[in-house]
Amino acid sequence: MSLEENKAIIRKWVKAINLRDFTVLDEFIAPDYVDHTNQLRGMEDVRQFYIGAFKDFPDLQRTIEDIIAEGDKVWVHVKITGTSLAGKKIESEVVTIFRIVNRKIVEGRSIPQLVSKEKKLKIT
Amino acid sequence: MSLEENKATVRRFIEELNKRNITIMDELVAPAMVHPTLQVRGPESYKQFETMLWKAFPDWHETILDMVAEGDKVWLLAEVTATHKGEWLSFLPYINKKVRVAPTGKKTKFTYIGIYRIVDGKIAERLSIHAAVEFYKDIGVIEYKEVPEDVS
Repeated sequence: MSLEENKAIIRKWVKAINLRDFTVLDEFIAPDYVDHTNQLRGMEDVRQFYIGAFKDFPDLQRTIEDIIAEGDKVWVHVKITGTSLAGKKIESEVVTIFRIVNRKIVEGRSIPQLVSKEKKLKIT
Repeated sequence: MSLEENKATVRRFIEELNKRNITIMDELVAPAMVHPTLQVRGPESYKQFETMLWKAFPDWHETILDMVAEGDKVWLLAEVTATHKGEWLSFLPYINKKVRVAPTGKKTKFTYIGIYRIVDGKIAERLSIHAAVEFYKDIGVIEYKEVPEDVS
C-alpha cells in the first residue's frame, strides 16, 4: 500500500464517522482492531464507542487539520467540535496514530489536547 | 534536506535539551520560528521558556517513542517525566489563562505529540498536543469535574 492510499483510508474513515455511516466499520476496521487509548477491541467496541459519543454530543464533528504517513502508520491531527445535551460547546484537538495493514486499520492510539472548555477548572 | 536529516535535527534538538544545552536553540531554531502552543517566537523567547521550565522541573526529561516525517514535517510521540521543584508559570491553551504554581514536589509522566516544520535544517514551526489536564492534575493545579465528554 502506498502512503497516499493509507492516508485516503483515514480521510474516508473520518468523513464517514462525521456522516454517521457505520457501514465503514466493516470496510476499514480490522476484526481484531485495538484502540489503546479508549480500550476498544474489534468492530463492535468501536461501534458502541461512537454510539455513546453521538448520544452525548449529537452534532460531534471532526476536521482533519493535518495528516502524515510513513511505513504502515498514518498520524492525523484532528479538531473536534460538538455540543453536549446540556447545550455546552466543546472544542478539542487530538492526534491519533493509526497502523494500517492491507487496507484495514489494525491499531489506534490517541493523544488528546486539554480536553474541553466545559470542565470546571480551579486554578490555584 | 532529506526526511532522515529532518528527523535527525529534531532528535538532536530533544537530546541536547535533555542535556541542558540551551545553545542548541541558536543552532537549530529559526529566527522567525513560531510555537503557537507555548506562545513562543524565535530562539530567545524559546530559551526563556525552556529556562523557566527547567527551574520549575529540574529533571524534565523527554524520551522519543516514535517519529515520522513527510515533506518538511516531522511528528513525534514522546514521553516526559519531571518533578515539580520550582515555581511554574505557564499559559493554558483553550483556557487562555496564565497560571503561577508554587513548587509541589509532585512527579508527572505524560506523553505528547510534537509537530515540527523544518526549513533548511532549522525548526521553523512547532506545535504540541498533549493532555494538559492530566499534567496539571498530576502537579495539583486543576480540580475538575467530569462531564460526558469522551470525544478523543
